[in-house]
Amino acid sequence: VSDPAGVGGQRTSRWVLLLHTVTFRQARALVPAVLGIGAARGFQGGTVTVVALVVGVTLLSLLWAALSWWRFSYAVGETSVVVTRGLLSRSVRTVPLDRVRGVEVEAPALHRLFGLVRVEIDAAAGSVGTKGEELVVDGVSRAEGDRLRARLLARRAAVTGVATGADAGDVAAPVEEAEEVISRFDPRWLRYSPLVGSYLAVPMAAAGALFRLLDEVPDRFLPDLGRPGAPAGSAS
Amino acid sequence: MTAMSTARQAPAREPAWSLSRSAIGLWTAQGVVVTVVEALVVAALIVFVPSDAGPWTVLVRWVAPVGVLVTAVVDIGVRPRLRYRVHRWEVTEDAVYTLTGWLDRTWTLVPISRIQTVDVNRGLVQQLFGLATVAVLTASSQGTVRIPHLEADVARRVAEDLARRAEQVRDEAT
Repeated sequence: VSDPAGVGGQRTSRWVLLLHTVTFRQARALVPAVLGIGAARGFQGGTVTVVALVVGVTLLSLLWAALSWWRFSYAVGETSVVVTRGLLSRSVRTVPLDRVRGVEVEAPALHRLFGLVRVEIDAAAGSVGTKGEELVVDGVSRAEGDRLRARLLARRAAVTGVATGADAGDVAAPVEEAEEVISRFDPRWLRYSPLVGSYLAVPMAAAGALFRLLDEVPDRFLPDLGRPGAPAGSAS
Repeated sequence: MTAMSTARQAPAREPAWSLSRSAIGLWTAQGVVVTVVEALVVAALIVFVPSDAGPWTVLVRWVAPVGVLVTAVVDIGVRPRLRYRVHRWEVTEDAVYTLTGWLDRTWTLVPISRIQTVDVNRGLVQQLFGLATVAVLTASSQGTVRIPHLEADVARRVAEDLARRAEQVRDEAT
């Protein structure tokens, strides 16, 4: 199958394979089916079955992650970003650089272990059909993520600056200019957090959940406090 | 190319281009698959419904097979060709322009200046027939235009061309 993108695409980092295997990113799609099968067949079996299942699922996850990684590529061309993906049915998504509305560089906890980031390119396209997702390049190195962001936004700023003088409010500052810090997080802000109602509810919900859990624990694991002759402390 | 005049009089005439001829093949194949499934269901019914079930026997033995036969003729013989005739599309100087539907005819015009994203999708079956679907996405949730079943390289060229031109026309909307 020839690559319909035509442009020399780049793959994401190889480490993302490991990441997606560990989090079962692709294999998660199978959960409803597995639940259904499990409910229909019932589950009986000892340690061996469990181990076999775990190993099998992990291998499947690895295979799936590898195939997705192999079939995914992205390219930033002169005029557009092209993302090609799909295991069997192929999809090529092209976004003109001028239409890029924003670039989000995200580093979730696990990604940070591998020094990876996830780049989400917002194209403001009506989220019809294709799962409402924008362009997501999941798992590139931090440097590559920054390069992508700079590249995409630099282009936008340049185009905006040159093309119209009319909507002056839209014209971004020149790219080279250093970023201005508007505000920085101050730990003292935390003092105000109790003033927000929902934050009061959260500890209570946590306490409630804890009591609920204690209720579920079998009696033999709980210290018996009500019995006469209990250890000192209960008698005053 | 008199694209400007074309665009101005656009709603008055049909888009110029039709889909790939292979689309007929694909739709026919789909019709065959549907017919086979229907035939299997009816065959199973004929086997399992007892012959002394009164009106049900008549229904299963005579009406259902005739129904399958009629839908087979429609699905395989008529509809693919009809669909091919009613789907038309064109990319003019400043709009993507499609006409679909047989009884309800829908004209859709998407200005190239409003295009946000261009997708090319190739499903499994489409790959067998060398076809691809082009989807043109706008910022509107209603605005997606799909041109199904073009030849793969035509689709690729259209997508590239649209993306390039959309980039050149500055979008003042957002």
